[in-house]
Amino acid sequence: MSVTSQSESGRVLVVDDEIRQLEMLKAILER
Amino acid sequence: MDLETAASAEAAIALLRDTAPYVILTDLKLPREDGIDLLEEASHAAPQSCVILMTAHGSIDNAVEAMKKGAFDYLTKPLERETVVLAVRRAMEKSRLLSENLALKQQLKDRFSLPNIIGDHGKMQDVFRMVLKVAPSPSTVLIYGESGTGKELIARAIHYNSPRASRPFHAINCAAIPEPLLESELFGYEKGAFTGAISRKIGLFEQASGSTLFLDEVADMELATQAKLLRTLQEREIRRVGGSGSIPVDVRIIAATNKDLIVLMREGRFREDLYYRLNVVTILLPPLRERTTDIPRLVDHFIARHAQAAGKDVRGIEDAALSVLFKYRWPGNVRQIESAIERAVLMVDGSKITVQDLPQEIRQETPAGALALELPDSGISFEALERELLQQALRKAGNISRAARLLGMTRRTFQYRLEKFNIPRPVSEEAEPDQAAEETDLESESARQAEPL
Repeated sequence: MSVTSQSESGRVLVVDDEIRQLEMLKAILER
Repeated sequence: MDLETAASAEAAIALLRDTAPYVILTDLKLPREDGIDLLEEASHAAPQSCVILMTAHGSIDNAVEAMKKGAFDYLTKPLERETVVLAVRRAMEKSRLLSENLALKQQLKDRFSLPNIIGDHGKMQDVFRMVLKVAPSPSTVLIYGESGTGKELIARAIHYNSPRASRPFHAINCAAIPEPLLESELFGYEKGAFTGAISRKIGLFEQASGSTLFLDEVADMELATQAKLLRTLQEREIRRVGGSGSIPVDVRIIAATNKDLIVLMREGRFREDLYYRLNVVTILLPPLRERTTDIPRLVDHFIARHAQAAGKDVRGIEDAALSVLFKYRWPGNVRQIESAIERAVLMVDGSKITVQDLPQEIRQETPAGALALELPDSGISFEALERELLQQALRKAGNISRAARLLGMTRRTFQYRLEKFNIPRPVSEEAEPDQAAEETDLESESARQAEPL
């Protein structure tokens, strides 16, 4: 399951002071 | 998808205005400023965004507090991929709706902002100044104006310049709805209040609570409904038809009429107490015939609007046609000129509207030099009118010959009428040469000039 459908695009801002978690969320949302 | 990251609330806040994010996915606990600070900042700097908070298992109370402050959702750690994706997807859909909603509200606000309402004439500038003065307060406003002068437009301008602008504007024409229905429309009814009341209906006063309600043609409201309206204005609460409890409402009322409420009051057709309740601030909208200098801009505006709608390349109006529009009396005011231009745009063959493209009643109404004069219901003294015209012509022209020409009559006829009404001849008249002599002199002058040639 992806965050956006093919026709949609959107801006997401992810905020976390733990770099490891930030990278994990980035990986989830960019897939 | 555009993805931005930040390692602190401060860094995220710095990004808000430039990135205008749809979704902010933030840890609740952050060094210095936390996720709730970011949520509060985002509500101002990026009102279209939806905030999702991530929280450790032990800090649910904080997450609940964040929800109360307007967070879209919260996720409990440890995070699962599917949960994160689903929450962000839902937030993105909500944010898109929010963005659309904000854009539409802004469009409405722009449409009814004063610079977008045509009115360069001093009387309209007075109206605009009044609108700006009264808009910020919740005071009741009464707008007087003939049919088609733009009463609803001005009511909307007040609303969209007021602190209530983010809520929808509500309007009702009191003359267009039969009386028992008008009461139901305004105050609503309870289920079973009367035959056919199969479910509860929320009236306009409740719908418009926190916003503005425009009561057009308020003079056409019957006395019983006037009494209910008065009670609502005084008590700031309504009672639905068939209901027993009172419901508080916070509605700003803007009423409008084209009738003389003072005359109606004297005739017992409009409640005096309601009149004073409504007449806190009065705005008088001038008829178009009293602001003819606005006609060219109105015409251009309506040509552009209707040429686009009709898919035609119409770019303006010929001077002769514009002159006809200037001379016409416009009993239907701006609404009538719009309809005349709409018709002309459909009829025109070239790129400019001609006299022939204008509606027949407008072309026929204005023979050259005709006066825009309407016989009042109370009648008029023809002799007084004639005397007044003779005196005005004399004042304007300064001498009998020119005054006679102004009224399209001979000097002899004019003199005869002056004597008939005992109107004294102007002082300068002694020195004025007789018209016939004047013409003879001119002829001989040109003859003298011609001689040497």
